[in-house]
Amino acid sequence: MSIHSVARSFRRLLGNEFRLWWRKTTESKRFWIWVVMVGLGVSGCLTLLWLALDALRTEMASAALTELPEAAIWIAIALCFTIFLFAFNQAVSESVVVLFERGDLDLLLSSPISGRVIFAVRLLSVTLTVFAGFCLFAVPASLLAILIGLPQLLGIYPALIGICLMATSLGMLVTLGLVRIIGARRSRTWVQILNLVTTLVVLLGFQLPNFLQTSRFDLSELQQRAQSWVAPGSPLENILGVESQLWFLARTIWLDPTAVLLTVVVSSAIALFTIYTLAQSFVQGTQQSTTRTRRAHTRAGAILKDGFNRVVLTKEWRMMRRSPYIISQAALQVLLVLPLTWVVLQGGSGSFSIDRAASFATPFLGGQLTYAFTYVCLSGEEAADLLKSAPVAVGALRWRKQLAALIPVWTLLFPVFALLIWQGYTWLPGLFVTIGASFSASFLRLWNSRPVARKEMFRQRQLGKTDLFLGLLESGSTWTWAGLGAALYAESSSLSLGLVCLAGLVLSLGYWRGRQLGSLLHY
Amino acid sequence: MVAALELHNLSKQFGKHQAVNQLSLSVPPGTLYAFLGANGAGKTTTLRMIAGLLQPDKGDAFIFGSSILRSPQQAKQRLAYLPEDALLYSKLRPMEYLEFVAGLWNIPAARAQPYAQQLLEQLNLWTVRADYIETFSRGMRQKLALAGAFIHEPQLIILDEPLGGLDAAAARLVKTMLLEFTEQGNTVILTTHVLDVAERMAQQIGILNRGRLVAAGTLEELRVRSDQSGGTLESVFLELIDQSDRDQTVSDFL
Repeated sequence: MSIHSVARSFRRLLGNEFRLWWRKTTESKRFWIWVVMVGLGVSGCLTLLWLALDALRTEMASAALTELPEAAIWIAIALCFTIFLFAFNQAVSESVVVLFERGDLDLLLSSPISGRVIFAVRLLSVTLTVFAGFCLFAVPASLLAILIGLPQLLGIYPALIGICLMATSLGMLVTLGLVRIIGARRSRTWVQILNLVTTLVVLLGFQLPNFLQTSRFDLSELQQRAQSWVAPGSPLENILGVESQLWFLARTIWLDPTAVLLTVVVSSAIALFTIYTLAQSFVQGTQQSTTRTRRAHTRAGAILKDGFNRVVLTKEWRMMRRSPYIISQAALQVLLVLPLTWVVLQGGSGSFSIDRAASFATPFLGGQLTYAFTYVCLSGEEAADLLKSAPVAVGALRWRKQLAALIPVWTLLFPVFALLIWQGYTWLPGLFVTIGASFSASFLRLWNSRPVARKEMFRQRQLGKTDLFLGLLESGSTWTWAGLGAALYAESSSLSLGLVCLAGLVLSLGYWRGRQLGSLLHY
Repeated sequence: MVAALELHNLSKQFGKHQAVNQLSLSVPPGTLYAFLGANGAGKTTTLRMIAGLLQPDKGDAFIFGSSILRSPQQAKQRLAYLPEDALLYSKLRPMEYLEFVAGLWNIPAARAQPYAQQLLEQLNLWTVRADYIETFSRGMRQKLALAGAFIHEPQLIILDEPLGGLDAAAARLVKTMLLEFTEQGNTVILTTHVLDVAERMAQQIGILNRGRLVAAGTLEELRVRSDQSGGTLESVFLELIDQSDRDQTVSDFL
């Protein structure tokens, strides 16, 4: 195959990838609203900064930045880690789609185009997709850097491209490994869970010092120990110290020529290795392993359960337990509860009031979890015809589905209340409002539910297909109940009464809207 | 004797389109009744109204004397409905699905358990009992849905294109199961585009065209009506549809 035909194939495939990416990106109803809003916001901010930073710009221009301060490198290292984590997450999600879900690789690999060209295009397209997402932040940041007289920060672009290329390569290799071990379908599930959990872990990581300050934990001791590892003269200085070549990506952000060169070489080498591995793996039949299923185990032919109540609850819980959407939502909420639990166990310090935080946080979490669980139980019903043709009253069935959503919420939050009681804190207001918030959430969903295909549950939010009015009602309800928890704790009877009325009003609005819409569920 | 199914002037309109028009018929117990008709003739709409999934605009359906409108739970207790593309729970395993269906119909587990295993073995699904339904092929899903229809021991089964997506062996197995089911005194109502199947299996045939029942009876009676003595069901069906279209054109003209 001549170099021209390879280039032509490459261009054509990349063009196709770009078209698919563009359609997917602009599919969201809110895409253009976002573009206009972000564009206006960024332009406004930059103009204001241009005017405001005039003095600073002159100062920066006159003082040439000959040597980078140590802090700048550490900030860049932290930034690189965060970017890499998010880029890797996105790359894994995209890789599952482009390598296994889209289903066009058989056609492409059976064509005369070289396998390496095909996978190079796939790798490049995922890299560009990930890079495009980060550009939303990189473009304003680099413009700002120019405005304040720090053009070195244009190094963010080579650094970002390098990070995205490495993260995508690694993401594709991990995806390939995951698919080989657990199959494509389960990989997708675990990738979705991993994405959400990682995002939250990063966010919580940033908040960690705040959490630690509220407890009796000695933060400064930890800082001192970390500093001693990289201090001059320590054994790890050469590897982890600020001068180490390990941090070449961070130095690339500051446009260090050696670091830029290293970034290009390292990321290209990893990308080439990935392309070669992918081409080899697919020729050897990785797709076959995706259709492999687990063999029978003893529970599969288990004794059937008796009774309408029991089978409905069991079925809903099985479906929830096996739903990636539910697992991710529950994991998110549990991760949010963990810091609070930790603080409770540590005993708290200063002005931080544990029972007040609990009376506010538990109804909030209870409400959020109930929305997610009820959404799956009511809207995600897959066999509506079966339920409708069964000799059971619709009301009885829906009530059991609601109960199936509520019981796990209460079970998840029970340990928080058990801890509060055990540690002797005020727990009754929190418990009261948590039950209220979860019931309220459950009924709002019941009255306003519409059927959604289970596999579309994640995408509904991404595509902006969520019910905006219901979303407002749900937020209103959650915050009202959480506020009520805090008001009850503060023993403010007038505020509590007002919030009870507001919660009732939100619920009434939900009921009224449900009546207007009529039942959209097909059972 | 109470009819297994009785339809009284069943009608349904979607916008300006009359999907089913004053459909009346009676099916005695122990019969395999086939509904035939071109695409859009109103077969599926009729079946969905009988199963209580769709509210008729006019008329009523009686399952062993129980009205699907006035006493739906009583009527549904003796009825199973299997749509053309049965939607099953992707994240359940076959036995879990059958457990759920048996529970909906309040069948004691002690009775459902051996029958569930027997059905899965009979339909060659026992070996995949540990797999989630989402991994099943269309044919396997169709067979599992059929097992779900049988698990609560109905006396009337309504099937919309039950042989779609099945391989030859599975189709034969399903046909045998349905024939055995009717031999035990139960009733089957099915729709099919495979006229050979209807010709060989059905004791009674109803032909629908533009929402109207244009002819009903045994194959012999339909042959007489269409002047196609000794003709295949295909030729009888086409002739009756033709006649109905001609009559409709004349009536529209007048």
